[in-house]
Parts: sequence; structure tokens; C-alpha cells
Amino acid sequence: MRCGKVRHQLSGYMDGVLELKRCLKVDEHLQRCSHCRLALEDLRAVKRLLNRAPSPIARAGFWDGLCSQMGRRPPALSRSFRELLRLPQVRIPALAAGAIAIVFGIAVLGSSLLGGREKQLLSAPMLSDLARYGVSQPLNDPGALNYIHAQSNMSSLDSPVVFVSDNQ
Amino acid sequence: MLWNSFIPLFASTIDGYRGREASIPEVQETLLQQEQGLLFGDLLRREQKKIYRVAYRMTGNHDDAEDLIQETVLDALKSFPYFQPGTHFDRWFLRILTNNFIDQTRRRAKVRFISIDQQTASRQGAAGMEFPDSTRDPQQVVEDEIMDEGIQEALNRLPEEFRAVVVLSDIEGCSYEDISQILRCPIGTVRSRLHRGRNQLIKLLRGHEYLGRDVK
Ligand SMILES: [Zn+2]
Repeated sequence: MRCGKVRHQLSGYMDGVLELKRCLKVDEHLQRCSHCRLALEDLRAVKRLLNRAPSPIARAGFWDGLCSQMGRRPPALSRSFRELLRLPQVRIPALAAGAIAIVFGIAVLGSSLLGGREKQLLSAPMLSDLARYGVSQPLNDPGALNYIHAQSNMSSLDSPVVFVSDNQ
Repeated sequence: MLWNSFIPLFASTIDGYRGREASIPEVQETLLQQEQGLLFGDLLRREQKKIYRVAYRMTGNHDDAEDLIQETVLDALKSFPYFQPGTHFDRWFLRILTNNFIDQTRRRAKVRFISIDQQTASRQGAAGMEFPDSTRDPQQVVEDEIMDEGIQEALNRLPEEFRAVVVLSDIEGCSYEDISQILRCPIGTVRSRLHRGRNQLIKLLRGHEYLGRDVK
């Protein structure tokens, strides 16, 4: 085997992933070629250096902040969450309450902004269901609007929820 | 100001909800989302060291590592319903992270939502480095830090695809099979990228005197 061909396989040779036949050929070449032996030493040194490199540590609070939202925020909210994450003034502590407020707030705002859609989505079974809870005018009831969204599987949470903040 | 706008909404909503029970589908949906969120959080926590290490070594600094992880968490949450429990969460997450990293560096003209000043102000608490042996003399610590900066600088100069493979293999100790799964590419590609990446590193590091004890 020539040096060029051996060099190409040295990395795999070092990692022990060459098939036996090739491995033996590289072995044989290394016995008599000091240049390729040095190249192998370099590869080993680089691998060792990287392997011993220290572990970077995130700043305190990074993971806590990121994970504290997990159990509370519906995955469907991720788009607006993305925007919120970028705003330093509402970063982590306000996010949980913010997410809840958006979910509930959509119903409140929905009555003025999305009223037409709910009217179309409101079905007879929903009406009777709502009547059992004593809701006679569902389009004026934030809770009922939320229920209509859930029932009709309308992905209200996927719509650009961020407009909630611009509305004030 | 954004937050203030939620308060009246929230208050009026509580009024609106008084005396009303949530419907069963509503409750079920919320519980399912909560459960998924908690599970995701647990899995993320378990792999946080590895994830941060990979993100840092790929991006080359703490700020970009944080951004990359945040972006990846959002993407991963979206596709979490398709994650198969019992399979390797770390590989699944690292796949999304690595893809994001390679995408991100390709479209370098990144549009930032907030200015650098705001960003720095919002990131309190120091990030750092954990060296394997914590009881060494200060001189050694300084030397190791300088050496690590040199290594990271060299890594930063590798093309993204090579850097990703080198980080996964030589820093994380992933096998060729793992890497080919993470990057969704053939093992032959992993092998050749690793080979070329390592050889570029050797060239870049050879000039550094402080690396002399390790690289000839
Ligand atoms: Zn040779």
C-alpha cells in the first residue's frame, strides 16, 4: 500500500473501524513507514486533546428557566413562546403566567375579534352541552368560547397569539 | 409593559370562569399537554450537560450555545409527539440541534429580535468551564484555559459539517453508527468527514507552541 492510501485510512484505523484485511495492510505499512507512524501519532494526539477538553457549564439559571415552563405550557403555543423568549423583560418568571393569560385571554379577545368564527363552529350538541352549564349566550362567555375552540378542534393556539400584546 | 397587558385579561377571565366546570375534553387535553411537557423537561434535564457541551463546542461560545439550545427546544417540543418513548432522547435531540446549527451557520445574517445590549443585560450569572481535576494549581488552570481557547478557535475554523462530526466523535465519544443516525448520513460520510476534520485540526494546531506536548 502507498502512503497516500494509508493516510486516508489512518483515522478509521485509529478508531478500530477498518475491516480486518485493510487493518492488516495498514499495520504492515506502518511497520516500515515512519512518516505514516508520525501522522498516526498526530491523529491520536488530536483525539486525546479533544477528549480531555473541559466541559462548558451553562450560566446559573439557564436550565431552570428553560425547564420551568415545560409542564405548564402547551406545545401548541411554541410560536408565541419563541417570541416571548426573545423579550428580556418578560423572560422566565412571567412566562408561565403569560402563557396561561394568553390561553385564557384569547377567549376574551376572541369574543370581539373572532366572534364570527365561533358562531360558525357552534353546533347543536355544543349548545346543549353549554346549556347544561347554564350558559345561554355562549358568544359572550369567555369560558364558552374556549370550550367551542376545544370542541371544534380549531387550532386557535396556532393562530398568531402574539397579537394579544399589541392590542392594549 | 407586555406583561401589564395580561393582568386585566387574566382578572376578567377568572371572573368569567367562576362557577363553571371545565369540560372533560378540555381537561384531558390540558393534562396530556402538561404530561408531555413534564416528560420533555425531565428528559432534557437528564441530558443537559451533554447537550450544552455539544452546543458550546459547535457554536464556540456561551451566548450562541444558549440561542441554539433555545431554538432547538422549541423545535423539539413541536415534534415531541412523534418522539418514540424508550428510544434515545439524546440522539433525537442532538439531531435537531445539529441540523439547526448547520442551518444557522449557513444563513449567517441572523436577524436578532433584540439588541446585543438587552441580550447581555438579560443574561445574568456567569457561564464557565469545568475541568476534570478541580484541585489543581492556579498556574495549571490558566494554562489549560489558554489551551482550551486554542482548541476551540481551531474547531471554529472547521467547516460546520466537519466540526459537527469531530465534536460528536472526539468530544462526546459517539460511535460512527450514532453519528450517522444523528446526522442522517451514511457511515462512509462520517468516516471521511472525521478524517478530514481531524487532519485540518492537526494543521491548525501544529503552530501552537503550548500544544507541543500533545501535538507534534
Ligand atoms: Zn507511509
